[in-house]
Amino acid sequence: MRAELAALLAIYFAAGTAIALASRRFGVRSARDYFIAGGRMGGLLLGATYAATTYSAFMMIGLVGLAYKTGAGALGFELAYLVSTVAILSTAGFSIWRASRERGWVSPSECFGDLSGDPWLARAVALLYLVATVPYTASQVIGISLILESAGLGRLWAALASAGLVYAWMAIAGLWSVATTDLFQAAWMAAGGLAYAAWLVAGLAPSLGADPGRVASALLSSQYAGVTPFWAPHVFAAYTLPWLFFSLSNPQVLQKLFAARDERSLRAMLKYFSAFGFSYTLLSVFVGLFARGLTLLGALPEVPGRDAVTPALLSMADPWLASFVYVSIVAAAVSTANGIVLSVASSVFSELVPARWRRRELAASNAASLALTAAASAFAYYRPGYIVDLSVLTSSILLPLAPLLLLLMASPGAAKRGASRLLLHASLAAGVAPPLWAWLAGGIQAVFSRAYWGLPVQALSLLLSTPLAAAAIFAGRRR
Amino acid sequence: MGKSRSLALAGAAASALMFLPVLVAGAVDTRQWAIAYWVALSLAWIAAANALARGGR
Repeated sequence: MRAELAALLAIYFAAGTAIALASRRFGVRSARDYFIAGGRMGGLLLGATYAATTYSAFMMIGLVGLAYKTGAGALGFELAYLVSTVAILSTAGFSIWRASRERGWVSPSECFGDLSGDPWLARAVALLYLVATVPYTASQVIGISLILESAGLGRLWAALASAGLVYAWMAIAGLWSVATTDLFQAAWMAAGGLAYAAWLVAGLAPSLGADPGRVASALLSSQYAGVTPFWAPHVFAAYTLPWLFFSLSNPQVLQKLFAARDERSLRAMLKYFSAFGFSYTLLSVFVGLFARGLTLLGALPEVPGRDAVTPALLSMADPWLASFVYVSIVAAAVSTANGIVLSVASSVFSELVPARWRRRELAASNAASLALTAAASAFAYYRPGYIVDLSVLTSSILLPLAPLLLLLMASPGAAKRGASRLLLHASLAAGVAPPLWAWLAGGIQAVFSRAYWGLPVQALSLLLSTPLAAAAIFAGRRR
Repeated sequence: MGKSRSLALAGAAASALMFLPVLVAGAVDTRQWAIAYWVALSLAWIAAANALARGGR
């Protein structure tokens, strides 16, 4: 498979780079152009970049494995995310876009500072983004590196090439090159997912002597077609809660809203994202459940690890097909990683870089992106044990930002000084504490499986942080 | 404003309803319907939200 994978990776990189270079014609002259495309982006590019940034290598590796190991509950978990995101985009999404236009936001942390009137809140949010998302980006880079290693590169070269892949399509024209290559990558992801599912049914099953109809009936009569004991209500809530608010808590998707040209573009984005998200979710879960059906029939031996299901299946595929699917996974990882780096770099640029360095806007923007890519790649190369834990923690740690943003949107400028500022920072700290505490006390599994007073860690985080944020705004109003 | 509020309420209800199969799993055999329920609910909500958002605000 090595030669086929190398050939397809070369085609992928060449085509993506050509697209990125062509996107320079959109013109990038300022940090605003670089990070949010000058607020001039249309619906198709916006929808594609929103979807490709959101859906990472987790889908075809992690979600396939989750469906295989735990059954249909994985579908409920992932579709709950989609339903909630569509709800937030079709309501708060429009308000956030309007506010970003009126108040001139570029970075996602800027909106927290501007709405609260506290620049230190923006700095705290930027720092939180940095701490929470670098490990998540590193986990994507690890995925890219592993695939490049199986194409024949040594570990160091694979890490360097992965970093280059993440950085190149961002440095060429900022969000314009990220979004145009995301459109290309989303198409490859969809084609890869479709080819994978079609091969499973029409290629692998017959070759293992399993009729697809029998696979389906074995699956539907098993517990995997329903809610297995794994998906206890508190576990489902622990998995789902951070994702319900993902579109508000995670900088790489929140910032996409600032780039929309007008309301029509936002509506088109909603349409394209909904269609892609729904189809890609069904494909990923279908692959996992169908593989489970093969195992139930005895045609496929039990695959030991969750993340090993896709590699185990693709090891039986034609090398060209397997390589095509692997490149679609690289595309998913690259599009997520550069989306995150671009948005966090904008927060670092606006909140943490000294003002005198910001005068040369484009150079400083590119330097911030490069520094973040280098940090994530260094983590990916050395792969310290805690990096995987931290990458899983990301969305739980960022969760308190969602209610905070909604409350600040409802009452802009209500927390300008004194006690209200202190309460805002306390609400952030109180929201971040429960997942960190659970992780330190019981490891990463505890964050998703342990319940305190009958509540999952993520619900505690919301219950502690939201009242403090509401109190901050109430106190600010009274002054 | 009224439409925005209705959309927000319907979205919150759709998100909450996604939890139903998990909440009743101990008492009801979810093999018969969980997958169809999740797919139908999310598809219906996505179609409704897109149609309402398209109609202007």
